[in-house]
Amino acid sequence: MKLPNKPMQLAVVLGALAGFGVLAFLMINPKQGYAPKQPIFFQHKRMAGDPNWVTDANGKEVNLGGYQIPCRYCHTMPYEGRHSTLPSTDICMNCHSVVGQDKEWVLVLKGYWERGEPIPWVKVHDLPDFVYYDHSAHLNAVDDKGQPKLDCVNCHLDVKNDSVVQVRTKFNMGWCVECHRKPEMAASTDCVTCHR
Amino acid sequence: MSAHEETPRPVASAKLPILDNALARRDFLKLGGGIATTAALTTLGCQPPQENSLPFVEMPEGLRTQGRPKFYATVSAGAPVLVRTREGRPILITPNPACPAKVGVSVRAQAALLDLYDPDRAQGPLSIRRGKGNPLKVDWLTVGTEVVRQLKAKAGDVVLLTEPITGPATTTLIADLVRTLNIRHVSYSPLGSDVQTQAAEALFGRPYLPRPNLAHAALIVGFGAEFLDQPETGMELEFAKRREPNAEGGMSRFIQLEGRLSLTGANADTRIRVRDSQLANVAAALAHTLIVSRKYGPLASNEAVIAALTPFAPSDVQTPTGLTAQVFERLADELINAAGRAVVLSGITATATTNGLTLETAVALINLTLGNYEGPAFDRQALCTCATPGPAALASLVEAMKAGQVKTLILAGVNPVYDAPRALGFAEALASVELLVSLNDRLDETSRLCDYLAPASHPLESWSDTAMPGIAVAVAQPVLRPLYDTHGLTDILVSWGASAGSGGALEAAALAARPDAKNPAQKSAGSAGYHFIRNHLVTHVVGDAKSWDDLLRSGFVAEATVIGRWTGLTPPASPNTITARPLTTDPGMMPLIGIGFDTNTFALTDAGLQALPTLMGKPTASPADLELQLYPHFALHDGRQANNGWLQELPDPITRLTWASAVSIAPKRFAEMGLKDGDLMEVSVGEVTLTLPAYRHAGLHNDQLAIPLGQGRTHCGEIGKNVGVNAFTLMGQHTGRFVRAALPVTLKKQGGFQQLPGAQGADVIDRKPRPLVPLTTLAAYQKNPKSGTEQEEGGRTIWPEREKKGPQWGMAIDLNKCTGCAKCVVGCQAENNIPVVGPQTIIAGREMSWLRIDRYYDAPEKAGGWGDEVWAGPLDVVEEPVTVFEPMLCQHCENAPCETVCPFNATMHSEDGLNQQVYNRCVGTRYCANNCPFKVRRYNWFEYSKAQTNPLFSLVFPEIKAHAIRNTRGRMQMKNNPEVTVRSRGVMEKCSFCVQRIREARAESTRQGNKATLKDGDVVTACMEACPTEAIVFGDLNDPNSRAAKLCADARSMRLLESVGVKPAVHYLTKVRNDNT
Repeated sequence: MKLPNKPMQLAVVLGALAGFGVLAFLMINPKQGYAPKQPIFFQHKRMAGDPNWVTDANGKEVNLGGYQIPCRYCHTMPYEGRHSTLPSTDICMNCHSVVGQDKEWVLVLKGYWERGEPIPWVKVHDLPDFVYYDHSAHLNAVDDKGQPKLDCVNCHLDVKNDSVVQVRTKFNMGWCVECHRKPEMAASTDCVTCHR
Repeated sequence: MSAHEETPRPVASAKLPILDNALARRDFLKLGGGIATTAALTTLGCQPPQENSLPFVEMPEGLRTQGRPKFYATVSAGAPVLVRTREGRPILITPNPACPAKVGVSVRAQAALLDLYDPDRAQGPLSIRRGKGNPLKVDWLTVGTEVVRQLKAKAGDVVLLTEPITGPATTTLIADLVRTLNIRHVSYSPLGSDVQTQAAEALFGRPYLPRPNLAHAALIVGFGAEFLDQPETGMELEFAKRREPNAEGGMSRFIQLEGRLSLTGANADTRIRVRDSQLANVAAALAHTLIVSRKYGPLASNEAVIAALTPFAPSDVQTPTGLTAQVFERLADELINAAGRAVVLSGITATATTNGLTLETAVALINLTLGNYEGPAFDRQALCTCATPGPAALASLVEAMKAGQVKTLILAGVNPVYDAPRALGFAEALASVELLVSLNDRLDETSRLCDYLAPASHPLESWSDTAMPGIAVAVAQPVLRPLYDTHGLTDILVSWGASAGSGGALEAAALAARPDAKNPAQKSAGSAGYHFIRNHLVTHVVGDAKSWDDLLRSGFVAEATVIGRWTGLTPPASPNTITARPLTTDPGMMPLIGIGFDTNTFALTDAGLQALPTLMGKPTASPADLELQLYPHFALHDGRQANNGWLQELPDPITRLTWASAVSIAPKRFAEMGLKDGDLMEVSVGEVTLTLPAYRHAGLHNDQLAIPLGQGRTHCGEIGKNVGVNAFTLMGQHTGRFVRAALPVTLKKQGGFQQLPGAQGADVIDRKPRPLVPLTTLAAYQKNPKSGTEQEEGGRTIWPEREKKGPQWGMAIDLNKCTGCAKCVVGCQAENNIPVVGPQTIIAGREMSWLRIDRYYDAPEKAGGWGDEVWAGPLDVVEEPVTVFEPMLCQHCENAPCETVCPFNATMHSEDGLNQQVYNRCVGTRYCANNCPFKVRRYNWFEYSKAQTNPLFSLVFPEIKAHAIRNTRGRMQMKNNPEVTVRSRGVMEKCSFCVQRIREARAESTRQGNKATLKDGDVVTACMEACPTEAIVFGDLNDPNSRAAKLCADARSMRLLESVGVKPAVHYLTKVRNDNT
């Protein structure tokens, strides 16, 4: 196989390099921006976001923002267990048996509740199956002064103001290790920390 | 030139560089680049699979901390255990740590977890119609109505045939049914033996003996003793405690006389080969030596005893036993030296001969005359072993069935069609019974001949109770709801009993039907069986409701709490007599044996003295040139769990065979017959002939053969069916007992060959060139504590010294305490999601166990040294083998040879001293396994955890179908530990030191605010947890105060292959044999 000229040969080599590059990039694919469609158009900013009270056309006080519901009202277990847990539907119904009864998506929610079906949320912050992550080990970690090293927002960033929840960090191994390597974190970088 | 050749062909293929022999480097690069680009472009559109996350609709209480285990104390295979569950499903069964002696947990108790998810269990009641046509689904009401109609008639023609039942509540339930409904109860176990109780009753007037406590025994003499082969007796830990060379009162000495090298015999200091038929004569001759010749002990002046022993003078039994008078003199010397501190024991296989009573009587006489029963080595206060009923009751049941006296037969947990001798005619007698209902868990050999199968739930799904030696009562509580449409055995009996109008059952059923206090629309929690057991145990055992809660939490009641009031049926006459008596007069009924021996009157009764000549009899000759022993399979026991892949794949500790039954032949006879392992042999007892492969069994008496029982099931499920042969068919009968030792047998070479799936190659180790297992004698140890650990030291190292900050995990394995019981192997398999690979894979040498127990026979020192012939197992080594067991797992070498050769950095060292294996990096070059000097790395040749559906693959590799049957059907994968990756094809794996538990302990410490700092004992590996003798200790070797570090610093400690400089993290402590006579 003889290629006619130098530029052509160069092109093949460059092409190969680019191919490997793309492949390598895919293997460490950052997930930033991943925001799949959910079965319910659920807006974090309406729940956990800051309130924004305005007077509407009818002179009624309405909140266009959120209600500052703390993360752990719904995601109950991040400090106790491996998973932060998605709220069971009964937690939603604590409010929505009264609030927003005529809203389109609340009706969908109530549909799931009345049929006794779990809501098939699509995983957003989804780690590969060979990664063992433990929320409790991160959130309970304290520094020398006894102050917590991390809070939800360190990894999930500004989820509370999202309309559609999305991955706001790279969320790949490089991103994890970056933090684990920080001296102040005093975290292990052994493979078995996450893979076993 | 044909037209065909003229057709223009694509240019590229004409000059495809690969087709040329020489592929230039440049061409390769060009081609590679092209392929890479294409690959990149095609994968551009790929995204990780989208997964759903389904939260609960209503969160159940108690499941709030998802991702953390919950534990339940319950009972498995008759032993108190702790069940680890995740998200409501059991994933691991371990000994109950609250139970001081880890009493009685066998590999079967551990592996019962796999039975729970067994897809071959019956999934609901079936109408079998005695095997005519396919089984049809029916409902519980249909079966119940039929049975209750028979029960209501109270005509005395209903028989309940169960396995031995020990729990006080369950016993009372059955006694209630017997009394109020006029039914009969027979209990049966194919391996049950009442020889000991018969002898004890005849001699001492009470059907039991005090329980030996080997922790206080200076000398143990076993006549075919099986206490390590039968962990149910709960003697392992006590035995191991006294095996420390520096134990208080000195290391115990264990002399075993036996025909087949058993696990117990392999742990003996001195082993004397005596064929089973002669064990009774030897024991009697020893009693003769002590009592008649030496005139030792209180019996020496007893005319009746002397008269009974006179025929057994050592000189008279010398020829058949093959032992010289010197042997008896030496044994007598040792016994007299240890008088009062010795234990003489027999085993149930050794007494399953025609002269078993002689053996038991002689053993009792020796113990009596030495004063052992009064000494510390017998625990007179402990509940002694519950006797298992002999098969006499089954024989009388068969007679009754044949005579048409049995109209209804209800079977629970028994399988006589498989395991009773053919001559008994149980299967034929079934035809004369009108209604046959089986409560077994599957369509087994017996159930398929019944009218109905009403499947009882797995023990982990139902309420029950049990009594056991060493502790008093344990309660079995359900860990999850039944997976299938099954009911617990107690529930079935209570609900049928209540429908038929039995008092106690009615009461429990009423409690279960009562409306819930909080929610009157619903029934109260708890089934009828639950209420029966709770009522009984609260009233008669624990006393009040609060103690019941404590009982559920701890799983058992220590006997001190219950002395004198634990059955409630027969109030104790005085505190010092037996507190419970047999509940019914039915001969098959299990006598419940109580507590509180009257030590002062423990002597021969007058009746006993009169019976002595009959009990002892005359010396018996051996039945023939060759005799056969049928022994319970180490893992499968009587075969009821034969469909369990873990048990099938667990190598027998001695033969190292899996997935097979073989006939064991003594090495000398083996050589004389010119056999090789796997040659098919015909073994005939009477008219029954079995064909099975030959196995050269080291240490077997030359005139004896041995075959394991429990294999050859034809209807147990897809995994265990037709594995091996059913040796129960060879069992004989004698005076109402099953005979399974000293059977006259003929052996013939058949000509065929069947490869044996053995998990180990060579048997004999020559420690001179290969000091791979530290072994010494007590005398040598006392002279030099380091003896046995000699090896070439200090190989050059190419690795730099590592900085050791924080914990450095390591392990100490005390070979003196390791009995080779293999519970660590099963514990590891369950904890680490290790697949079942099957016999073909084992033959190919591709077993997956991360932890194996190597069994070596030590080659003694020889002038000039051994040559290569040592590999074949020279006769003089294997005839009288010195056995040593060595648990072998990843040694987590500090300078690990595997790490150096991995081209992908998939295995490397962690800061805390672990040799990590990263599955997602591993591409399966297998360099690491090649470079591992310990051969502990395992390669996944197949995708064991997924059913391969691709028809092409199934065609090319038919074995993947078998793998799917053994691993992936139904709910089998629910057993998996979610904390450990389920490995896929093409990945190397090995022991991780249970890193998931280390990480979890660190996380727990973080949650407690302790910054991931760990105390000694915070991390317990699965093998350490399962070990009954505390031979395995795991811990931080960087902390000089940790148990593991202390043991590793012991003089007996040895790291393997020091000369190579790999520096393992696992230390072995020398096995010391007590040769001080």
